[in-house]
Amino acid sequence: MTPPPAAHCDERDPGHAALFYRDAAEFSAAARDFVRRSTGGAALVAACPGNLTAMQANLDREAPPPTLAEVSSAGTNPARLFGLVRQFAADHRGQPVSCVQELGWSSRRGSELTEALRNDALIDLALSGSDASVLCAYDARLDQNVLAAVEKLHPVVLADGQWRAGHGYRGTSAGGAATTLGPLSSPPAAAAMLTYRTDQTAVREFTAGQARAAGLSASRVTDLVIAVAELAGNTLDHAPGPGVLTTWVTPEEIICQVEDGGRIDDPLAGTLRPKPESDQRGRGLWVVHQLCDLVEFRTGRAGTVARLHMRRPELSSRAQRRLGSRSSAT
Amino acid sequence: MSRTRFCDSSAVAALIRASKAIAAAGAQLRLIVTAPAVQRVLRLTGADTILSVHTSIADATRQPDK
Repeated sequence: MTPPPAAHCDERDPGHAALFYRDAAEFSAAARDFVRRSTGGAALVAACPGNLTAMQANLDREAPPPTLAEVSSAGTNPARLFGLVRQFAADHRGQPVSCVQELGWSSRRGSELTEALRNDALIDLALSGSDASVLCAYDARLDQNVLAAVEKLHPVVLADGQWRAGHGYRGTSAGGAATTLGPLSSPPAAAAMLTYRTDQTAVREFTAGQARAAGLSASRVTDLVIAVAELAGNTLDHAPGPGVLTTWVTPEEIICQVEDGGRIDDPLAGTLRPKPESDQRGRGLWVVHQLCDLVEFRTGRAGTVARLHMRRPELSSRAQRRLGSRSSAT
Repeated sequence: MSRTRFCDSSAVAALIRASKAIAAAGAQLRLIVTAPAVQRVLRLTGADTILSVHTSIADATRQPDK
């Protein structure tokens, strides 16, 4: 496998490529070749456990090993992986950096994939000013519409062992990121709603009650309350008018939607870890991403909608806990 | 802060500011934090590595300066 021919590379964006892999062997071979490019620099490979294991078995003996990260421990929330890659590039500024990030595994849910694609479209903006190359890996068995969207985001694609130009690549622009985001679905009619103007306590109590009813553990209830409170705090500080909190459950998740008249102008907001010693505000969105399993933002002239997802415990374990509490009560 | 049941990340910025001002005056801010939500926010933001955080008055007064 040879590196991408220079003629295929967009000169503004020489190092943002996609990989369509069919199995762990193909992933690990491509990732190894890609991180070789940054000899003398730093390399990061973030992938699912199976692909990481194959990668470890496939490493160059003579070269310094890349930093390996499991995407599931970085979090299934795509913003956390995005933040990891940003941080890695920032930590190694001034030297060549290559990153391989697995964004699309075959079982990944649609809403997560949409956010992962949005972040993929923002990676050039996020890494501008650093000497970084990024290979974004997607399972070749993903839906054709997803793969077509991936092609449009990458000047070069590695598929079937061959480097080629991405079909329909549109160049890097913030517009590209926006077009990957469709509107959010409407909340169900049965969703619970709370309008808040000044009272943060009511927001926290409402959220905690809904989260407990959805079966979240005490620590996850706390996490969701903190996340919602961060957004409600932003409403009170920055937005004109009140905010609306809407919550509902699906069999898999509890969803809290925070809606207000404010706007988030920076598409990268909340993706880089704020310095612990900073005495400035601006940690809120980053905190929200660390606490929730998925966060969807839609912002525009009409305001901002933030939809927070938290996975519920498996139904079977919830049922078991109910059975357990019943038998201990008798 | 043993009576503080909750804080968000804007409180973290205020605590860091207070800690710097107190350090500039030659003293040290020590916090007593018992609520899980407050502990979570301090840990998540890494503020617990910057601030002197304790779980009781006994703990806060026993330990030497960081």
